[in-house]
Amino acid sequence: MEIAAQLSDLRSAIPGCHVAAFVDLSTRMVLAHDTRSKVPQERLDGLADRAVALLDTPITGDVPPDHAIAISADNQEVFLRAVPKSSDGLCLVCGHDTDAQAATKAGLTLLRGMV
Amino acid sequence: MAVVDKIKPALSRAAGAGGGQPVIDPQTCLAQMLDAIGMVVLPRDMTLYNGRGQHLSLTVKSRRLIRVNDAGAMDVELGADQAPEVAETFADFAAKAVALKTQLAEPARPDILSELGMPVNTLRDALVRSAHLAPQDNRGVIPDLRHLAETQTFAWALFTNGTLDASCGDVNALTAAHDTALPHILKTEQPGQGRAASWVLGTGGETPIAIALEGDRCFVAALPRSLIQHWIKACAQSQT
Repeated sequence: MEIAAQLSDLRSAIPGCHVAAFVDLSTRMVLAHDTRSKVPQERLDGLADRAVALLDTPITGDVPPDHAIAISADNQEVFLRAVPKSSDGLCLVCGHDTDAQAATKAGLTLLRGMV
Repeated sequence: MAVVDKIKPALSRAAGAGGGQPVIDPQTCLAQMLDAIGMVVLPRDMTLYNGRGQHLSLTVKSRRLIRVNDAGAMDVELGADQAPEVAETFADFAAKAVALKTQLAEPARPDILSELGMPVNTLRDALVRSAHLAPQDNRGVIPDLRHLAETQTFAWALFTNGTLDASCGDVNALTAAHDTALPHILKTEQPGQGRAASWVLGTGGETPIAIALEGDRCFVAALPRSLIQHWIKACAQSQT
C-alpha cells in the first residue's frame, strides 16, 4: 500500500484526527500527508520543525524520546519516530478528546511497518 | 499500589523481617518511609531540628531531605507561610518514633506501621498541601495539574523562573528533564498560533515526562501512561 493510502487509513482510524503527515526528520520535510481539510503548507512545515525540535533531544539519559505530544488550546499534536536515530517521523494533529495513547500506538505501528 | 503497600516492604526490610532479633533504627525507618512514599522534598524553609535529650534530627535544605541524624524527639520549625498541620504531623510522628525506640530491643512486630501509628496518608497529604502554599495564584494550567498531582501519585516538580519551588518524588530526574527539554520545547512555537502550553515526551520503555508552562512557572512530572489523557484534558480545560 502506498504511503498516502496508509496515512489516510491511519487518520480515518483515529477519532478526531485532522492531519497525518509523514516527515523526513533529517531534512525537516513533510513527504506525504492526509488531512481532513486543506492545510496550508507553512503549517505542515511547522509540524516538521516541531517534530525535530521535540524528538531530537534526550530528556533524561542519552535516548531522545520516540514520541512527544504538544497540547495547545486548539488541539494536541502527536509526534512519533520509528526507532532511535531513524529519520522517519509521523505527525498527527488531533482534538483534545482523541486518545493520545491509542494514536501513538497506531502511529508507531504504521511507522515501524515501514522500516 | 497503595502507599501503605509500598511502605510495608521497606519497613519489613528495615525490621529485618524473616530472621534473628531485628533492631529497628528509627532514623533508618523514617528515611525508608520517606523514600517509600516519595516524599524526599519538603516545603521551603522547613527545618526539623534537635529538641531535647536523644533527638531525631532531620535537616531540610532546599526543600530536600538531606540528612537524618540520631534518634529521639523532634521539634519542628516552619516558615510563616507553612501549614501548621505539617508541624503537628511531624511532631506526632517523632513522638511515636521515640516510643518505638524504647522497644527496639524487643522482637519486631509484624506490622511496623501499626506500631508507629504513622499516619502515612495524613503525612503525605499534609506535605503535598504545604508544597502548594507557595505564593502562587490559583489561575491557569498549573493549579489544575497540581490538583491532578494531588489526587494521583506521581513525581512532579514546580519551577518558578527556573528555580525549584516545590516537588514530590525524584527531583533530580525532573530537574534534569526541565533543564534539558525546556530549551527545545520553547522552540516549538507555532507561527501565528503561539506556543503550546504543555508537552509529554517519552520513549517506549520509560515513564513519560510531562511539562507544562504558564508564565514563569514550569510544572514537570514523571507521568504514568495511564494519566496522560487526564493530563491532556487538564491542560486543554485550563487553556479554554
